[in-house]
Amino acid sequence: MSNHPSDLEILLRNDDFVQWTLRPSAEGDARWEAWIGVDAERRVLVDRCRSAVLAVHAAESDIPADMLAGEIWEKMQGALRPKFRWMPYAAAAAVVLLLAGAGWWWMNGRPGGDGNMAMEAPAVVKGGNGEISAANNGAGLKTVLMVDGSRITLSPGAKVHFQSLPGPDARNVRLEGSAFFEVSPDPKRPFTVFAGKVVTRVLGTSFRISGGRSITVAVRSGKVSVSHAGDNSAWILLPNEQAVYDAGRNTMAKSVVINKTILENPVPPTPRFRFDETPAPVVIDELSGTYAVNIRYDRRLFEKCRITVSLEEGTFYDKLDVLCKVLGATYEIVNNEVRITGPGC
Amino acid sequence: MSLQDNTPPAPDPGWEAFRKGDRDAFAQLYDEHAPPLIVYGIRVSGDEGLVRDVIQDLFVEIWRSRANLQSPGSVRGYLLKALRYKLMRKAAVRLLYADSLPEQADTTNPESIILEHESEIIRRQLIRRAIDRLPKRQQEMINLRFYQGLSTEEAASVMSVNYQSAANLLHRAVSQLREMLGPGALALIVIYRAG
Repeated sequence: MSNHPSDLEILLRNDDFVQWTLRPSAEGDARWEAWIGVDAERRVLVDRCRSAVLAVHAAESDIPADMLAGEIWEKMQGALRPKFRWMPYAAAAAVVLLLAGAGWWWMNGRPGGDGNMAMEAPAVVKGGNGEISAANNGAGLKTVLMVDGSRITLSPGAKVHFQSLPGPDARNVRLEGSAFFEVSPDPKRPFTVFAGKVVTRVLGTSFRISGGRSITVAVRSGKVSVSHAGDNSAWILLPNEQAVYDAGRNTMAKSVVINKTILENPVPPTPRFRFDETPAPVVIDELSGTYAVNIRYDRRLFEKCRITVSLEEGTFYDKLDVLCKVLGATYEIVNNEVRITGPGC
Repeated sequence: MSLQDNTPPAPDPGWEAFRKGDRDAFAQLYDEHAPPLIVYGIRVSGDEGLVRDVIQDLFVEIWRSRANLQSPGSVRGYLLKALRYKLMRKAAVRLLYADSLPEQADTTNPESIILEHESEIIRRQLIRRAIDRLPKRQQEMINLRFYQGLSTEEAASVMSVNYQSAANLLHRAVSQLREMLGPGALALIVIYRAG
């Protein structure tokens, strides 16, 4: 068979060929290998057609659809209510959804903690719609903990923006400056950092992004994909690899991390969170104040409840869950705030 | 070179769970299908704001009416069709389609694009621009076919035309794209080397 343009077009019109190219499978491989057989021209034709299909597919993908989908999902939650409201004792499935649901919490140096608090509190600004800005205006490192258990350690001058209690489909952070990220694995909710024109997407890993005129993304563990504005193709970075983006030339280069110290995070992991015969409002207010999440409850009902509990483990939602169980209360999340209801003591 | 189309996939267990009111399944359904639907919607309408509204309507609607929905052979095909129906109710989108008749590509400036030395980014933009110059229905067919990975039959169903019309449309789209990109565009859709 000669490599004729019409052959090419016939192949591009073949359903099975296109679907095999876009969604490779062992059966497809077998079928098309059998068709190619020992015919060298067929092999060339198949290779060319495959790259043509993939080129068109890539060209059509040149739209930030995942980000748009995330934004639409957030906006949609109002219209889905009350069906999507969450009650902790309603159903186990609901609990799982919200735990997986990647809200954020954050934790800062809590005065009265037990001294394990080397990190300082970043300056927090609560915007509308549950958006939070956290800035490190000091000279040391400052750490932001998120509801999903992820941590961001801000270098001096760095700033991050995100939803304090976002929806269940994505974890998005906007970064100015330099920060170290330790991301909890959650394949269903990609964690995406937008830094200038550089977009870094991860499924659970630790890495550093240093911002400025040039932006560096360096990976300590896991796998990270990096892309920049105007180019939807993503680079995959593995541990000890880095991508350096040059804002002036709008180009990106990949290399090995030479200065390994940028991949160390000197901030110790988890702060203590233990209570002994503590009035419930104190505990709730600690949670609320420390994690920049509004928690609404009837203070009169709960002020007589005294709690002895250790809330060191788990995500923000785990802690909330334990607290509510201890109080015999329930909580729900409405309009970017947590509402606790129960009979009190 | 005749190979059979794949048989349609079996009913989607995720879809069934969603129909029973499983929110997790709904979130998964959204994660899986919303991004490609957005890509398709922007290809068809060229209007991101409109697509945002329509995608939101679509998913809110299917969540609310989930109990009454059928099990489609292809969930993606079903959602694409529903999205298309919603988009075509907008006057601005219908107008785009009216303008694109008759289905001839704009050949007034059939510049031949030599891409051999271009970077991946530029190459992609050039393909995108070439697709942009196709008549609207052909653009849609290219998206359904090479982005969404639909079979000709599924694409016909989404576009509410018969199989033969869809096959003809695909034929024209592929030929015109090849012509537009020119014989010099080796690494591209036209990988055919003369001689």
